[in-house]
Amino acid sequence: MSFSNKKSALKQGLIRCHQCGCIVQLSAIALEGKHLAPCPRCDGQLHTRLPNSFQRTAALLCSAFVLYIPANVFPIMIVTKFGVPEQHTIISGIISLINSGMIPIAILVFIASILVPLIKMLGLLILLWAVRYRWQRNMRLLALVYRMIAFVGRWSMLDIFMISILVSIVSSEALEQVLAGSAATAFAGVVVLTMLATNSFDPRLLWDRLGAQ
Amino acid sequence: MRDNTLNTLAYEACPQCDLLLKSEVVAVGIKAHCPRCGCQLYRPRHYSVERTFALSLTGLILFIPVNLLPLVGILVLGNAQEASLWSGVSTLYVEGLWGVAILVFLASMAFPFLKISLSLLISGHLYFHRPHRYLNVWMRTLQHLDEWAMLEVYTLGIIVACVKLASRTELKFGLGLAAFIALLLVIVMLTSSLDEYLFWRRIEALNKSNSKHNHLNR
Amino acid sequence: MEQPDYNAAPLSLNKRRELPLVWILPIIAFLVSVWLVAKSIHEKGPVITIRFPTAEGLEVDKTKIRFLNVEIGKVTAITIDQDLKTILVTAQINHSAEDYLHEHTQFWVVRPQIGLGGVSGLGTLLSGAYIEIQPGDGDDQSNFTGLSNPPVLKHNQDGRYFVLETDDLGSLRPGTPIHFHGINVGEVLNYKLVAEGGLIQLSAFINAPYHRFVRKNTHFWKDGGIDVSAGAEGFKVRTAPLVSLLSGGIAFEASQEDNADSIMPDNTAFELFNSYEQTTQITYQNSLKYVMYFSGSVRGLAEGAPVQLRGITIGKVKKINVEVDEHSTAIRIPVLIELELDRIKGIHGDFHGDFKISDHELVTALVKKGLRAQLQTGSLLTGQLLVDLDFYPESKPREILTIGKYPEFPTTASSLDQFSTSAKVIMDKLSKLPLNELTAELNKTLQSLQTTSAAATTMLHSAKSTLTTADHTINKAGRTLTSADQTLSAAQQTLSTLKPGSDMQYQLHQMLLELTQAASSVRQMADILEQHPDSVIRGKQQP
Repeated sequence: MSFSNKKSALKQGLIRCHQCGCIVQLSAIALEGKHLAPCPRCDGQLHTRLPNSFQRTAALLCSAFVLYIPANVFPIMIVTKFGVPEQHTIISGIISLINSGMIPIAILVFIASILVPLIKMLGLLILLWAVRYRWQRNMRLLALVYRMIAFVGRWSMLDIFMISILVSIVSSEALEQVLAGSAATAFAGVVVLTMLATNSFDPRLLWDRLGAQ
Repeated sequence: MRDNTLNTLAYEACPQCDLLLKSEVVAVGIKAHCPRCGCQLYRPRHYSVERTFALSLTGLILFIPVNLLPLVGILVLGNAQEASLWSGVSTLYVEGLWGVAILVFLASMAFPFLKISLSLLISGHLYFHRPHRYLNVWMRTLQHLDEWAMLEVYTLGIIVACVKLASRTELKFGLGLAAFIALLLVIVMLTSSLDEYLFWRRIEALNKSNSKHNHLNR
Repeated sequence: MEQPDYNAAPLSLNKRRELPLVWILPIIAFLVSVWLVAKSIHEKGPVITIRFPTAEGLEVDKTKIRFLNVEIGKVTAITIDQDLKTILVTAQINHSAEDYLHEHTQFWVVRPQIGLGGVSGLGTLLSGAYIEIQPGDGDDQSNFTGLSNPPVLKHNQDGRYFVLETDDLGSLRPGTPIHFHGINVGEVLNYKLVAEGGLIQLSAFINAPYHRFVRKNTHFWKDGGIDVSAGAEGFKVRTAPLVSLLSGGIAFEASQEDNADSIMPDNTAFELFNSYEQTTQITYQNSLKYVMYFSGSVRGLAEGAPVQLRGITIGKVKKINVEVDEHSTAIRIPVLIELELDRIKGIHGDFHGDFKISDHELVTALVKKGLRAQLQTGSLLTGQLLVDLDFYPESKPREILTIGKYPEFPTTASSLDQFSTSAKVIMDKLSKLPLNELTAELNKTLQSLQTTSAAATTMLHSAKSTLTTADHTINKAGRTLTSADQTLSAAQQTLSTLKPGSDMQYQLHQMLLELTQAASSVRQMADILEQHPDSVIRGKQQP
């Protein structure tokens, strides 16, 4: 099926409100200073495309990449047993799960805390690349990547939640204590930044250049 | 006026690829996708408003035990140590990881609560056909914070934490966990039953009739 | 209605039923939980109930069930049984220990025990009591009755079971040690009164290498402490190991007559003698009874007094009567003796076979040669008499006549007066002798007994040997009446220290008091630990 004859809404002078989804004629919308007038249905701000989508996404993604290194290098959890501190990184936590025979759990944690952030960041990088260099192929695949990133983004919070439970449950005793390590903040930062990056990325940019040549 | 009617009702645009699409009335059980990028546009549900209203009411009630009762506990030398949603947040905060603490607080307590209460407000107004001037603000807020309420992920966190603890000590599951699971199911059902497309249309219709009504009154 | 200038695509409609994506995480959570539950159920073994008389020290979720100190389960519930007399302990056994649960599997509670035999279960002071399991055979079972006391024999040890028969249990209990030359080689397992009554059968277990010494003529005796016996043969002092001294014990000795071939099989019954003395006074079944008439007084002659041939015991006095001749009003005293001629070995091989006749013939022949009986003083101290047989060739020849029930054995008059006067002189001399040196020495020995038990045992052994030499010396003194002074006084000292209220008694009492105090402070410590387990690390908290 070819969509070359079909045109995007914007090219036909229509704007889809990204909040309520209603279609507004660009010509019918008054300009209020620099911005467009609010959406007639939901009163939300109308944009032709998300403002500064590329730059924002790229900036957030870069910060996420930077934070990803300390998140994996530094201990995310410090378990003090009988006064002897033992530092756990994300990976060592997974290894200890494998060693105790909890392989499905280990796989789950591996996917949530290692695979998902990586996929998210690499996927966003690819999407940005595609926008920047105007890729015209595998558009459906790219759209799928975007949807997957958006869906899977929150899963990485698993480790953070787990630590918050462990910290509160094994904290006030003398024999054993669990403290959250510095990597927890970094890792939480990675999750939030990648989620924000995904939100600020406007997938419509991918399609805007289609058939533009 | 003529354009306006056409724009809002006769056409759709794909949120992901901005392809202009012809609007269609889709029966329940059929999903509408964008033909170009495959993005799911809408998926009409049975009694979306009624279900959302009932579920969000249930969720709001369940929210009380979930936050008051401990979720899991361990026995250490005969002493019970328990964790609740709030104790995790406060311990993280006390330990100085306020960033993580705030994030956990928002994701596990504040946003789920907001999500449920906003759903209740909106679906309640729609259910009783009561217009409200902030309906569209609420709906927009609901859409934005939707993905930041992460109770499902929290469930997985509980499971992994339990597995890590079970090898060392005796675990105790309280009523709080049962309530939590119930809340989780309610929230997931709520998310899947809330038909945004329908809600926006109903809100628009409600607002229009309201303004007409006001107009006539005037 | 549609505006033709808009170029719009139709929607792509899909009727496929699929679950919304939001359900993915709950489904994952559900699957993982199911897997965890399945895994834990798979690892959980059977649930069993054990009946105990008391729940002392048992706690739900804390008390473990162990086999060879490996944890194989834990107590999940404790309820009172419907009969209101016992408690029912419900326990979760690990999957791996499922095979241990059979009909004859035994359970008992291990608590800290401080006894004379040693301290056991000390680890339970910190960890709390636990239930020990002894796997047995039989059918699979899940309801058990726990033992109220730990079985003495814990695990399959090598050795043999024997039955010991006694008429008085005394201080013997399950766990009473059995010694062989002072080595602890076994234990009493249990006891039962035989149905007819009057006889108590003890089941005893002798550990592996030592069961070979339980042979046909092995004698078991109650090793109840220090035996001091004074008889016609003089003083005898025997001591048992310290544990037996305090709580009673059993000892046995292999007989010289047995060789390694006569090792007895399992469950052979033995008589348990009341003292070591008794084992030496074995009644020989082949005995000859004679009656003797002594002219003078028999004061000092008791039933059981030895009949000696030139100083070697070959029989004993069975009975002493008084008879009066109604016509002549003469009084005579028939002394019934029993000769055990098995004790005499023939030079040309044993004279067994038609031994009864040949024994009697032998005695007749000996009497013809001048063998006569005479009353003699066995011990000057006690004044006990014995019957001595010796040859008096100058005496007029007599036959053995059988007038009454028993043949009469000819006697000669004894010179008892002479002996008694010289005994008096000796006694006077003894009372004048200084005894301080030996008293001090013995005091030392007995003090070291209370400080270290091991040293005490050896010291008692050395005391025993000293006293044996004393014994010898006294024996010599019996004949030579010259150099018995020092040793005899030492023996007297020993007797006085053993009296109630004596030094040694007092010191033993003190030692027991201290043990009690130690036990109570250990209990206090256990209480503190129970309430403040962290005090192991933090130390005792100030109130």
